[in-house]
Amino acid sequence: MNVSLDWLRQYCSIDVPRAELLEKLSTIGLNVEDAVEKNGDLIIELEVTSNRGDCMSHIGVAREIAAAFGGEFNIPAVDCPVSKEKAQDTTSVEILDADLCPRYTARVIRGVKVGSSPDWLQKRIKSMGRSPVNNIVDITNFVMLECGQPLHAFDLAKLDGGRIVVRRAKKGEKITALDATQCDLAENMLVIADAVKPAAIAGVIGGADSEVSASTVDILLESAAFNPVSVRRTARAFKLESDASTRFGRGTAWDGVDWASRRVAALIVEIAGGELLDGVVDVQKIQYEPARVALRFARIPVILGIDVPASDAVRILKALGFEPVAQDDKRVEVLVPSYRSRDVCREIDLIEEVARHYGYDKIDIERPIPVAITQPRKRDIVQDVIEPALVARGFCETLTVPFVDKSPVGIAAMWDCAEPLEVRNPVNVNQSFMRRSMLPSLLAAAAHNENHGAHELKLFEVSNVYLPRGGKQLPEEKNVVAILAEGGFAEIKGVVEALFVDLNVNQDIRFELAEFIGLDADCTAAVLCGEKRIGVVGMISQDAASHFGLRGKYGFAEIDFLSLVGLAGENPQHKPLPRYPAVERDLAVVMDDSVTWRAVEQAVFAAKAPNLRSVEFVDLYKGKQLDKGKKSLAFRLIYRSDDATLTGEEVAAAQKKVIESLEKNVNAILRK
Amino acid sequence: MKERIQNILDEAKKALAAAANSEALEGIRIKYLGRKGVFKEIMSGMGKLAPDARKEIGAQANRVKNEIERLLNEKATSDAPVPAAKKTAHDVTLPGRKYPVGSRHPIKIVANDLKRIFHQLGFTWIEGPEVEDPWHNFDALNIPAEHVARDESDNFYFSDEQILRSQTSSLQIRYMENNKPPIRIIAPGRVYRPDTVDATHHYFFHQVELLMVDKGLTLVDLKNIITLFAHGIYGPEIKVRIRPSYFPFTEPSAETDFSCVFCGGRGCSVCKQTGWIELGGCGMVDPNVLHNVGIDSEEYTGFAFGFGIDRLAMFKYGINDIRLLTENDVRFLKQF
Repeated sequence: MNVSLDWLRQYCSIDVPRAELLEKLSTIGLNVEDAVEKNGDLIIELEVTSNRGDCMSHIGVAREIAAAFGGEFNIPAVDCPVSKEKAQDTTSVEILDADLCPRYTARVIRGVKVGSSPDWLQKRIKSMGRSPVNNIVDITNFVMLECGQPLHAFDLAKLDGGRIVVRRAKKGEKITALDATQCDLAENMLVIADAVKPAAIAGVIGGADSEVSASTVDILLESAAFNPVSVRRTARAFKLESDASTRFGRGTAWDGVDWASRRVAALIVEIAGGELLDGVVDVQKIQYEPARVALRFARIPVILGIDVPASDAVRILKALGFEPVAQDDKRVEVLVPSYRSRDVCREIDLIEEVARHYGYDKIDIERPIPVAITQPRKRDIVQDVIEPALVARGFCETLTVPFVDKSPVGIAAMWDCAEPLEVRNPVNVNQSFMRRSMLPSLLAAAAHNENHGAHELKLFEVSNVYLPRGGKQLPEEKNVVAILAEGGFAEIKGVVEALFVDLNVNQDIRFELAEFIGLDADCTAAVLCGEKRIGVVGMISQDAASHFGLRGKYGFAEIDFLSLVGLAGENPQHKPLPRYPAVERDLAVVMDDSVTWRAVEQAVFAAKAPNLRSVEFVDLYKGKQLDKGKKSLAFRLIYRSDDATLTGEEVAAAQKKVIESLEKNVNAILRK
Repeated sequence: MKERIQNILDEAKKALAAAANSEALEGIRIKYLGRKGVFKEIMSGMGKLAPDARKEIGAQANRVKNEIERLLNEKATSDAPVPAAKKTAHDVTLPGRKYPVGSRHPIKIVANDLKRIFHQLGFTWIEGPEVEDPWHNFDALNIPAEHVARDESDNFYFSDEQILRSQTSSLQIRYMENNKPPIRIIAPGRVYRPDTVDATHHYFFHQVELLMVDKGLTLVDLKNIITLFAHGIYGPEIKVRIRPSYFPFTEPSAETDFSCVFCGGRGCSVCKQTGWIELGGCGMVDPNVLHNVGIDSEEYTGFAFGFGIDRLAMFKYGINDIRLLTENDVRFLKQF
């Protein structure tokens, strides 16, 4: 909202330097965005919050300035001679949809002379960055900018039946707006119609047909109150956001309706000549009563933390137009002016008004905050382990937007859930769904980097995937650790296994072959703890890679973060160090290619070999030296006793048991 | 036996004194300490001794052996090196071995800063859903059905019942529905608004919401908490001011400004010569909001403070384009 300093002076005295005025405006809640010197005037751009429709006008801003500096504040008196003819005898107003229009007034001015506006009026209109049109239109705009009430002048002769019907549009009705926009009206839109057809879109824009033109002689002047939501919705539907619609959209003042109408009528008669008919057609569908609100002075320090003298509080409220109707030493009761009726209706609202003008800068006392102790939650601790660990291993932390496209890999899911959530009003068609896996997000990031020449990419992110539960339930938002690394399966699996070590997980974690969209079916594993699947590790499928245009080979992992939190071992307990040395023995065995390492491991432990502590994979070989369909696995067995140094015989006996078990359980043959 | 060992020591000392070069020293080392040296021979002969003698002689032999070793080392390092081919020093300017080095995202670094500061102030970190229902995102926050803030131009809708949260204030409601005062929480989160993307706007960004509810809390306490926070993140010279503003869920409401961290408040291009940087909104929790979660606003008061993390990160690292934060270009990410 722009205001002109010169114009503001018409309503209040301003005798402080400009810098002080601008500073004050900001500190009372009218933030100054900019102030530009223009033709000897100062144009001030104010950021008016959405609750302050009253400050979408010079009078509203002037009232605030007068209250802030304690100066004079005057609203122009409106006085206009009237003819003998009565408005009620000339026209009529019918409101059919009172929910969208609680009040509509019409005045009639006969015999005007449409022409250009006088200089002073043109100057005002231009100072606000608008172009003068003609004297009638300029006057309505001037008064709107003056008091915040939008008005509209119809050419009375163009209104069928010479009367007004306020109603919702009928199916199929159209109107050509003043700016030549063709509008197909919907049935929920309010129109100002004459006896036959729509003549204006209520609160948004007038119709071209009934527009004031050079040939206009008689004018029907509208000043009304409309439902803010309805005006906003209609204005947006036609992309016709206007001075009028933004003001109606915030809500206008009940008492301003008639004042603005009289003000315009008087100016028309003064500038464009003609005669104002006696009286007004004023249809009111609700009984407006100003709200009566009490302020207990004792509540002021309870909220603000500082004392404000009762006399100051009352002075501020009065200056802002709140009329005290009862007062004692404990409280004051005020009537809320109609231009504040939407945002002031409770004691707390009055306290804010007092605070605003008493000065937020006075809320400046150092007072200690009582000490309170907080414990980091286990999930915070686990996150503080995982993220730095991945960074130390060379991973870059990404921050991806959770919108994805609807391709199979876009909406791929690693977890059981319903159909993906679709955004009704997406930013673009490729971002219309909520991801169900981090896979598409990290692949998109990888593609961006490949295109910029990066290689050996290692990315990770701890973030959310959105898993619909179906129906009206909110989706599950699963927090996952997602990792993408260029390289083979062993690389990505190694990263995941290292996290389990970082977190002191001591449960058995298994990896079982599994299939997921976007991942290579021959090289992807579900990560299991007991029967619960806590994650997925796999290589990117060819389809997924080509969807994103990726050239490199990538492994991907997505692990449920809360499962990790559950599995993380807190405060690992110290175990005494071994007193006797361990003995290592390497074995190489040949077996069918289909036998898994896990089966080999199980066969090793099934031997129940005494003092066997662990088995470590060393190498896998397939190739010419072996028969087709066979592989050789090399691994290391570690033996140790807590009671003595193991002898060669003891270890040899244990090895024999292991080899027998391998022969029996996985058909392995010792490789010589 | 004892004398023999003592003689070995004397003999070795003489030989060492006479040794003129490294070859001679190496010869002495091999003779006494080598695999087939004098001590090996003595040790292998120990088995024939009585247990008591074995212990005594063994100890003596070890002492002497260690002494010879020490003298050898001493001679080798103290003597001026015998002219030999001069070795070229290692090129210490060669790079070290490359260890993988990753990076934290700047938003996460700043979020962790906030976590640390607010932990010190006794606040608990909480999370909540990004996909929200209108009750938590609007109604309970005193944003009624006809309010502009609910328009589709300002919110991503999945349906009339499900939206992406447009502010982290929804977390206030979720927490207060299940917890009674005293409350001290900090709720960081991702928020969404259909904004046109440019250097300073994005439809996806990050906010932090602070909420404190207790008996006797006032705007003075709010300002003090914000000041502590400002000092925690930017240092004790930062000044804080609050200006009246409007949010449906706070009353009175305020905008929070920090004195400009770049120019110290003197005025620069970042603060548009004002000396102040707008940080976020705050205010006393609106009585309607407290009512909506069953807290008596006559007995309890509270305040909330919300601000953007993206902006803080951009200030901290001099990032001039918000789009960089979600582009995930490793050339950018590796700078942090």
